[in-house]
Amino acid sequence: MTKPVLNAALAGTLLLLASTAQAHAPTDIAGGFNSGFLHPLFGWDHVAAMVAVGLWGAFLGRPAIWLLPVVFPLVMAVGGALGVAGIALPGVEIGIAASALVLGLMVLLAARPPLPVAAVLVGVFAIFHGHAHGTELPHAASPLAYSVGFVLSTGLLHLTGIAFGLLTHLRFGNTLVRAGGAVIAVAGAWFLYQAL
Amino acid sequence: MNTRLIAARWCLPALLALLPQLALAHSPIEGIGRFYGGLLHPVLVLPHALALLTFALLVGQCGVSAMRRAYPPFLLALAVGLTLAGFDMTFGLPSERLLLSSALLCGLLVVLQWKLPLLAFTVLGAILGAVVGLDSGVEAGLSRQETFAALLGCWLGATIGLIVIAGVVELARRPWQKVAIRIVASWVCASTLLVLALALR
Repeated sequence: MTKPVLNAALAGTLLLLASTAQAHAPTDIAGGFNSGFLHPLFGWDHVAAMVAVGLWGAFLGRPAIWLLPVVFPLVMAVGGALGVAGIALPGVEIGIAASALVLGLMVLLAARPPLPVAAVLVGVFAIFHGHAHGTELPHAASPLAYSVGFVLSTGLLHLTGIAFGLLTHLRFGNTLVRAGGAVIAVAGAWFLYQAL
Repeated sequence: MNTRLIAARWCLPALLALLPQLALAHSPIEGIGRFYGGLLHPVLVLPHALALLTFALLVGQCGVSAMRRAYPPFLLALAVGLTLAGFDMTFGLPSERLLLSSALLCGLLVVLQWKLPLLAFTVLGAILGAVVGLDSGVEAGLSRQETFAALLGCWLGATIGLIVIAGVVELARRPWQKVAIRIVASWVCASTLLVLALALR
């Protein structure tokens, strides 16, 4: 093989190695699921509020501890549907930040209001969180995969909070969980300051 | 022979070795084959998977009597729907919306733990089987054998999925297991509600 032929063969081979440029997120079902799953996880205000819901459930006891993860996604979906429909909700970011502050305080104070009061409080905040996710939905690669991803991610954050909240059964668990609530409340205050 | 030429001679086979990729046959999952592609179709197509999942949760939650009423019409309607889809007769149904509406309805019934009359399982099973079947058509240009393999795989996949999930749910008797089933149903409801809102806006 002569040098020019070899050079041409090398150049041709290198051209064949080129693959599709992917400057943006994947546009298939997996891409939609990934972006939906990561959306709540990369927003600290969402994470704080979702975990706080689970922690608070531990203080509220049964049936609230198991009722909240069932009711929250459904109410959140209603908020999401408002966002998808383009119905503006005033102060979404403030509502989300306030949710972390208020729910964190509830955990810190180990508040035990009647179940309907707790459910309404959590439900109102769920609408704000859902609205924020819902406005992102029309831009998702696969809206169904996106919504499955973010609902699953939100549910797992609740379960994380519930699992952490179950520490209240241990000797120093109560203090530990209330300290977790304090951290969330401080973070919530910071989010609220930024939102305002 | 200079050293650059020798190096290039070694580089060329190395680069060529990087070129081969997976062998791709004709299938929804490349290389898996028609039968297995059909078998996984109900799991991989999200509206089908969610509709089947919530229906299985509902049937399993209501027990053996619901299974007896739901399975025969579902299996028969699924077979009829797949056969019609095989002949490219889909009647222009808005399948995705129907499947998501079915998922939402069944999911809400599971969350609320409503006891439906047994006739409702027959009707729901027949409708869901027909819609899943009609929406599972194969692409044009396949041989008769490939089409049959894909449709048979799809029928088996949906059947196995329904029976296994409903069976597992029926065996769940402890309180936390029942709560877990309702949590899964609520998650599916939330996902489908959002996409239906997007479809209807």
